Amino acid sequence: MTAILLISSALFCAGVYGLLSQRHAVGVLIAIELMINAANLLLVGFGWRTGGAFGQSFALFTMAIAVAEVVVGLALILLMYRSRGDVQVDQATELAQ
Amino acid sequence: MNPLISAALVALGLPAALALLLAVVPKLRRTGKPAALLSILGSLLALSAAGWLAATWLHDPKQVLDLTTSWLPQSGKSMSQVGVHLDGISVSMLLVVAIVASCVQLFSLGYLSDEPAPALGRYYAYQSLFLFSMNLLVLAPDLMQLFLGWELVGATSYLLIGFWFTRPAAGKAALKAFVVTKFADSGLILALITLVAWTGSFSWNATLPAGGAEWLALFLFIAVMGKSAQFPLHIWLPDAMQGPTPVSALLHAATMVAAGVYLIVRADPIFAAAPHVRLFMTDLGAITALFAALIAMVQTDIKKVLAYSTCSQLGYMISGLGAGSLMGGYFHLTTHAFFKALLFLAAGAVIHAVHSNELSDMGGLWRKLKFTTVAFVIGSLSLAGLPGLSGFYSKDLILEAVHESGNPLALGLLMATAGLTAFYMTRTVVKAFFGKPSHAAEHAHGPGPSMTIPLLILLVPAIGLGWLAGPMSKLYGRSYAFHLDTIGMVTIALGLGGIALGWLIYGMGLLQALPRAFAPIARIANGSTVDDLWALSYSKLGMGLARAIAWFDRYIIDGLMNFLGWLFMWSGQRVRTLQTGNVQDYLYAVFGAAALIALWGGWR
Amino acid sequence: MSSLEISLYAVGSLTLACGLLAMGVRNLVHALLWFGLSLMGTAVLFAQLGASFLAGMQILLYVGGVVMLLIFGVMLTREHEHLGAVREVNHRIRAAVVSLVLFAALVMAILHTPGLDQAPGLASQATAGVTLDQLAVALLGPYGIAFEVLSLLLLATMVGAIVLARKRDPGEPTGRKPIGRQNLGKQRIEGLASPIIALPAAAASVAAIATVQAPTVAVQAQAPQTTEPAVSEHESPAEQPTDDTTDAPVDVAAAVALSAQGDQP
Repeated sequence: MTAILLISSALFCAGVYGLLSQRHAVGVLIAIELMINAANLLLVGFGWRTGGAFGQSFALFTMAIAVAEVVVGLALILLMYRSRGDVQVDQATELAQ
Repeated sequence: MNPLISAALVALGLPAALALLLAVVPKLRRTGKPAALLSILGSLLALSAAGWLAATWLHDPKQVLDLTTSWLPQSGKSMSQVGVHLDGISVSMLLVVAIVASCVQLFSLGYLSDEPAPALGRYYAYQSLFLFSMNLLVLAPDLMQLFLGWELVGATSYLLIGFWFTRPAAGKAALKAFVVTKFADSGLILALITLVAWTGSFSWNATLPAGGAEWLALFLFIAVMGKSAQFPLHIWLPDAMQGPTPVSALLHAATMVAAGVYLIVRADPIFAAAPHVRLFMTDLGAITALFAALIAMVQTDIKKVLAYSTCSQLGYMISGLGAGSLMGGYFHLTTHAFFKALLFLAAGAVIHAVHSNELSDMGGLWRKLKFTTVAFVIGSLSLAGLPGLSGFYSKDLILEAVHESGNPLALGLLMATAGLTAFYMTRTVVKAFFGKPSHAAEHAHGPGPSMTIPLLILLVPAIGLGWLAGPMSKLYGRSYAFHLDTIGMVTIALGLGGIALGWLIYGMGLLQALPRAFAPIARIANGSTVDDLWALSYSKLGMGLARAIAWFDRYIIDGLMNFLGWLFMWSGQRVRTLQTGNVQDYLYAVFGAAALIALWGGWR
Repeated sequence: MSSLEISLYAVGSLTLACGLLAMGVRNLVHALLWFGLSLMGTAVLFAQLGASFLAGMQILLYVGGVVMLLIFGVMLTREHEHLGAVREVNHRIRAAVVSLVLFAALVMAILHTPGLDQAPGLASQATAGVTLDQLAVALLGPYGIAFEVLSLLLLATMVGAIVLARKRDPGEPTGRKPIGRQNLGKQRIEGLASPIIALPAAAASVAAIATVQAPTVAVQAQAPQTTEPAVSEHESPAEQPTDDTTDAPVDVAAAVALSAQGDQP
């Protein structure tokens, strides 16, 4: 169990690192997916530890939600590309204006 | 309702109703003479009511009647009582006010006969308002109502001094009187606040904390110094002579300026517990008396002589009250009200005859104005303290009281003043009525009946009130028995000496070196000196203080506010750079905070 | 350390390495490929934990779906390639510091939690796993409502993605469209499009939920009796303090607890 927790948190932190360091919007999306993946792993791991189907069921739900999120995210990236001409998140500072 | 109280309400309410009527019905006011007659009728009715009250109280001096309603209710009890309070003191003052006011209103009819009708109506509206205000003050059951009347008489004083408002000097004098008395009234407001803070009501007889009476008496006395023209706040009174002469007689000689003295009489329980303030009063009254008498010696304006003489006599009253003689101070108020009103009205008749205030424009008037001369001379002799006339008895009471209080300095000053008073009144009488007639005096015309009748009425108490000292003392709740001792004899001698000296110098033209020797002293004491001191203290102290406060306000208070504003602007600009708009920078905060929270949780 | 743990560590470190590479390389397509490998590693981890169905779904959905989508996204927005996918060095150092601190905190928390590896029946659970039919019963039984709501979410996602990414007319401004008289009809048709799609879908979902209710109740009613008659919740109130809610047909929490209990062998 410790192994799964450690691996999962390491993956999550790798995702955090990516989220903070990626320049490209798609890269940011990848980082988010990585973090969701880590969370998924945790769900499966705890399901494995306690037994029963609930862990895997929720992991499945999470996967579906993650896919939906990727779709919306990509749509946003396309919109951003169209309105700004690039998808550099470090350039998108309209929030401050 | 008790008919006595109804009479008091008539004395209080009738002038108020008339003032209101004349104020809100311009048509009536602009008719002039009918309005004046209406007002005179009101004052006469008030006088008859007051006369009946006084007769009743002379019969039964101990009687106390109250018709009050609670005002400013506070949990359980009320702070203030409003209504009429009738006792010997208030009834006697009511009578004085009513007599003098009636005489003055009647006199004004002749004196102001040349005025246009609207101005005359306005004048009588003010007069009625004044009578109401003064009665409100006199009948006050506690300090609050007295304060209301006090401020109202101040306002009517302002209005009446500035009656000839087209003259710049009159406007300035009205403003000066208002500002100076208002400055002093801050003391009364302080007294009100402290009284209600300590006792929860405005009543005179409340129990004060230890030492509280001294403070309260001091605050009250500051107000009295302004209203009753005590040094150094007397400066408004000579300027107030810009008003019509009957106004000077009523407000600035007989009644309004005496309101300060009346306040001390009313607040006797407080002043009785304040020996230090009383000592101060004795000394300050004596100083004022001498100081004003010195100035009166060199005045060339007959009204200014009388004004300074009023200051001087008010100093006597204050000094007497300070020495603890309620009888002396209050009785002198009463006698002074009559003989000074007589003097002022006689002077008014003179001014009306020669159309000038200046003594140099008069002279030899006794041939033309025989009755006026008699009235003025009797008034002067009463003021000078000639035995048998009313002024002598009251002045003698004060001097004895000051002597008994063991204050030789004040006694010396007051006795010197008695001599000086006789001297300058002789000077005035001689200059105005005897000697060589001036050009104007030769064309003088005698006063009409509306002016002689008031003089005649006022002559009676000016001569004979002294004999009524016994009954009056019962009204005040004091005892009196006439006796003449050393002080009285010396005073009589000084008064006669002053008269003789004045006659020698001004009547016979002897000893001309004496006035010349006095001239420098008189110049120093002359009117503008104190004004200059006030102006100097204002320009130096007041403006310096104001500048210091302005500086403090601009750089400390505003500076603090500006600094706060600047601080937030500055920090806002600094914090703004945190808002890059870059989502990843915000995520740093999110995950950094999460990491720190997790670390903190792990550490514990 | 058991053999399972050793293999978990081995696969896990490979997965982590792929993930880190995905986050670190400058070329975005390379990053996506590394990300795909990392997802496959996760799939292997799933398989190791007895979730073979999930491992398959992982490969199908993620590697087959998400990664392909992302590659599409990259190709659609190809620009500024010379800049690379990652930000400047100082940013990366800061990001590394933050994530390392977070990791340290997490590791500390994990290592300080006692009894993680001593749960009863851990070993047997690992070998037995969860059978597919158990998962199916759980998804369509106790979690039926969540399942259906998820389908609604996917629908909404679809509509949302279309609306967001839809290419506008060339003359049209990118912001809010002013409604002129001439294109009022078109507006109405466009506005009607989403409800036309959404309403039947919603109706279908509601119908599905309604039909699912019955089996849910059936499963709920059957579960304790068929699989574990000995451990009836009515006889163990200490374990189930909320036993009075058992008869409520749509109480998800109770259903979850019930199924978890019923699934124990």
